[in-house]
Amino acid sequence: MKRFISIFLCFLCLTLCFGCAEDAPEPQEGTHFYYPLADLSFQPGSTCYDGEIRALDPKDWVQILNIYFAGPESEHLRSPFPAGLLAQQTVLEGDTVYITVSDHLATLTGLDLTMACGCLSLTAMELTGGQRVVINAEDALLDGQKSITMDKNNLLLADNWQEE
Amino acid sequence: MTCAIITGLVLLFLNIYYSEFSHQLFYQNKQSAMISKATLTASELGNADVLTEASVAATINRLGGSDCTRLIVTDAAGRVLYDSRATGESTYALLPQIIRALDGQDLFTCHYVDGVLQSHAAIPIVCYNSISGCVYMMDADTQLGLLLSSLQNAILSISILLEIFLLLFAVFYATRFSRRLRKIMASMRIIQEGDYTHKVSLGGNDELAILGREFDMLSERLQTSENKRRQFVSDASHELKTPLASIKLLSDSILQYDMDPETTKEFVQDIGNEAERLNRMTLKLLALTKGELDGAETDAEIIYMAPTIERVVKMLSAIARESNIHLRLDLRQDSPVLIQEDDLYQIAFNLVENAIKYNVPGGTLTVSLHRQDDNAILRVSDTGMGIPPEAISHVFERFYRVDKARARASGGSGLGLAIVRSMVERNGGEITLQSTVGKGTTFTVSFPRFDINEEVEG
Repeated sequence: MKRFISIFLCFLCLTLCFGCAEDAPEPQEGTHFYYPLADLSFQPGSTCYDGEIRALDPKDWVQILNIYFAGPESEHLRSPFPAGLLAQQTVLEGDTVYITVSDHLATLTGLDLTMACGCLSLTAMELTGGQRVVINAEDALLDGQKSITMDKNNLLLADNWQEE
Repeated sequence: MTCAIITGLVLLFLNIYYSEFSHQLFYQNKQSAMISKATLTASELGNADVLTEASVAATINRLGGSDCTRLIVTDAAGRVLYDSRATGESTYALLPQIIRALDGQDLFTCHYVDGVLQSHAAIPIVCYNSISGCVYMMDADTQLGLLLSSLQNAILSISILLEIFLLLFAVFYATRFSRRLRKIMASMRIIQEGDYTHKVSLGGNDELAILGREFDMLSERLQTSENKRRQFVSDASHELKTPLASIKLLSDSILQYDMDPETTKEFVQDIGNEAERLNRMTLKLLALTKGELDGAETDAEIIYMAPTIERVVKMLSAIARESNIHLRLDLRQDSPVLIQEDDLYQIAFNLVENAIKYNVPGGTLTVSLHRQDDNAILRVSDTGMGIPPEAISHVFERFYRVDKARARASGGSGLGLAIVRSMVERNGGEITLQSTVGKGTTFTVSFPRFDINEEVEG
C-alpha cells in the first residue's frame, strides 16, 4: 500500500513538473519561409500558415525567392505556388517591395492566388524588411488585376478579437 | 486509504466528465444558434448575383445586423466584403475557418479559453452551385464562460471538500480498524501462550466485533476442551489406580499369609479378574482418546447388583480388617438394573474404600441393597467422623477434600466421589448423602430397577 501511494505521488509530481511543460523554442537564425499548413487547425488564435527557417545568404533576394518557390521542407506545410514559378526581379523602394515573378502565377485564381500572394508577402517582408509588397506576374493579369498589393495591416491572419 | 484514493479518482473522473459534459452541452446550444444565424445570412447573400461591399452591408442590415462578436463576409478569393469589427484596413481574411468554408465545408468550433467561450462558425455562400464567398461568425461569450467557470469551480470545491472529509474519515476508520485488529492479534498471542481465559471483548457490531466474539467463543471452547482433557487425565489415573491397588492387595495377601491352595487359587483368579478389568479400562481409554473425551459409548447390560458388590467387599475386606473395621453386608433385596458392570464396581469400590478410610478404628461399615418403589438402592454407611454440614454440598466436587491432612495421609486425591457421581449419573442413577459429624455418613445410590418380566411382556 505504501509503495502504491509513493509511486502515485511520484507520478503526480513528475506529471505536474514535466508532463505539461513545453520545450522552450531555441533561437534560430536565417530567413523564414512562410507556407500554408497542410492540415488546418481551428484552435483560437491559430493561423493557416507557418514558417520554416532556412539558413541562406539574405543578399540575393531573387535566388532566395526561387528557392522559396520550390516548396517547403517540412511535411506539415504545403506549397501554394504553381510549378515552374520563378522570381524575376525584387526591388525595395522605401518600405515597399516590388516583386516580379513569372507568369505562372497567373494560373492561380481566387483563394489560391490570395493564399500564394499572402505567403509570398509575409516571406518578402521579413526578407527585405519592407512593410508593403506589390506583386506582378510580368504582363499577365492576376485575377483581372495588374498587380496585387499586400501589407501587414490588410492581411487578417488570426482573429485576435481581444486585441481590438 | 485505498478507499479514499479510489474515491478521489472517482471524483476526479466526475469532475472531468462533468466539465466535458457541460462544455458539450453549451457547445451544442451555441452551435445550433450560430449555425442557424450563419446559414440564414449565407442563404440571403447567396440570392445576390454579385457580392459587393454595399450589397452585403445592405443584406446584413436587413437581417438586423450582427449580434455576435464578429461577423466577416468574404468573396471567393478571401477578400473582405464586410467586417463588423473592421478598422478599414483589412482587405484579405485568411483565417483557417474561412479557408475551410471557401473549400465548401460548413464549420463550427467552440473553445473555452481563459473563462471565455469562443465560438466560430463559417458557412460558404453558394450561388448557382458555386461558392461565391463565405460568412464567418465569431462569438466570445464571457457570461456563459463565467457561468461555466463558476459551475466548474463549485463542483471542484465540493469535490475537494468531499475528498478531505473522506480522507479524514479514512484515516479515522483505518486507525480504529488497525487498533482493533492489533487487539485481536494481541489476544491471539496471549491464547497461543496458553491463557484460554483471555477475552478480546470488542464492542460494536461490525465485522471485527463479530470476529472478536467468534474468537472469544473459540477460546471458551478451547478452555472447555483443555479442562476436559485435564479432567480426563486425572479421572483416568484415578480409575486405573483402583484395579492396580486391588492387584497389589491380593498379591500381598498371597505372600503374607499362609493360604491353602484353594484360597490361593481364588486370590489368583481375583488378580486375573482385576487385570482383565484393567485391560478393559485401558481399551476404553484408548477408544476415548480416539473419539470425544466425554463421549463414552455405553456398554450397559442388565445385571444383578449383589455379585459385583460382593466382589468389591471381598476385595476390600482385608483393608477393613487391618483398620479394625467391622463389615456388615445385607444384599438380600437384590434387583436387576441396566448398568455398566465396571461402573458399578468402581462406584461400590470408591464408596466402600472411602467408608473404610474415613471410619474410626473399631467402627462399622454397612453395605446394603434395598428396593424402593421402582428403584434399586445401594446404601454404604460408616460410623466415622462424618462430614460437616457446610462441606456436604462440596464433597462431589473435583479435588475437594474435607479433611485435607487426613486425605493426604490416606492417599486421597479428592476425585473419588466426583467420579462416583459422574458414573452414577451416566448410568441414569442418583446419589445422595446424609452425614452427622461424629456419628457417620451414609451414601445412598439409586438406579431404576429393570423388571425383566415387564420388559419381556412389553
